[in-house]
Amino acid sequence: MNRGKNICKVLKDVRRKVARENDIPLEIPECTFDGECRGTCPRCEAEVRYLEQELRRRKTLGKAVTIAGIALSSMVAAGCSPKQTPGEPILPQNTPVEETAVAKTDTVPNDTLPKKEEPDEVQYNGGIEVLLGFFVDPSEPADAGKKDSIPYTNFSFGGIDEEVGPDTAAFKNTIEMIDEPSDEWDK
Amino acid sequence: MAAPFIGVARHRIGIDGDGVTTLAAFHGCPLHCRYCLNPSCLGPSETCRTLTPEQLYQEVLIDQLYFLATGGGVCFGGGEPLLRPEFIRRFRELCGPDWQLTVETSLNVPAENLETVIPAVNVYIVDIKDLDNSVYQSYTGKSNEQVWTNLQHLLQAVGSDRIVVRLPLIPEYNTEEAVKQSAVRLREAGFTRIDCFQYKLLK
Repeated sequence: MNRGKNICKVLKDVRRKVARENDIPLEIPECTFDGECRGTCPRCEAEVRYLEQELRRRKTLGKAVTIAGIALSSMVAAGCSPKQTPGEPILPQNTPVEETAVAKTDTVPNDTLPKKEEPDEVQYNGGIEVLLGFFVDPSEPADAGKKDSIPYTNFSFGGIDEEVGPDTAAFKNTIEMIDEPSDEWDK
Repeated sequence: MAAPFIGVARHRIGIDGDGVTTLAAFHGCPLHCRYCLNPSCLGPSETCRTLTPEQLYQEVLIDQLYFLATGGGVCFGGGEPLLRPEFIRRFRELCGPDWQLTVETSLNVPAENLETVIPAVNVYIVDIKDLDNSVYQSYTGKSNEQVWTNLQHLLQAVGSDRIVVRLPLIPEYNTEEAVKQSAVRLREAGFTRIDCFQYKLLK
């Protein structure tokens, strides 16, 4: 399975979990695209917009909304367990230095972080409230996400334990461009 | 407070910390590593995207659902993200406390830069190359004296759980034994999350 398909599989699982935990009907058909992809597509993006819209609706109706951390198991299933060491160990097992697993990072207590800025007008300041405020109008169609095309650069950086660039004296280009830069860049 | 970026990459999984993350890579770096993964960070900045913290926040907001559901967020890399401490501090004000903010840094920056971001960043991924200054200087073109100073200060400020120290085996520069000695020294200093790995040169 190519990298894009792997990413898509993980993100799809996250969407399913969010939908299930919040009683949101969401049927995700099997993707029939055969080839390299980025791990997302207009349909995937529209599903996210739909979920956001439904979460907002439930919040408006006074129902509980569950998002934070509900898809941590998706990360474990994807082989990204917080207890796994990302790099390949190079030291033999009998050395006195032990390979230390990357322990899960505790969330920084809120009181150690700067408080959210109180805006003069409505802004998106992060967190559940912001997520709900970010939603499209519930009366808009489910594919409204298609018009929310925010340009972004899709560089392919190597993973931190993957291949590095060659000697810079003979360097050509170690950054694989998946997409050509968008004209939106210049705005 | 705009800054040049060499790229913003979505949907990174298991590479830049926990959960689904978006990597925001700054242009500019104080080092000149021979096997730099992103050498465009040292090239001309005129071709880079320039974003304010507000613009970057609006751009990455598209993946907030994934950030919250998976404990992910934004990873600042580059280049050297700690050359833009005020940008990161401002970004934290915008995104609030629920997003995980990570920096991938060499820590070879002025102490005041690190001090600025400490209240804003959750996890620090530090590639220290090698603790031996002669090896470090040969590979990067700069002394590592400030790195060790910053590492010790960071350990005292945030604790070992929030610091991942990456120790690479760099072909033609260090050896397995040297990496092992560096790891021992770091363990003795109190660091608990040490990632030993190997650079693999592209053919």
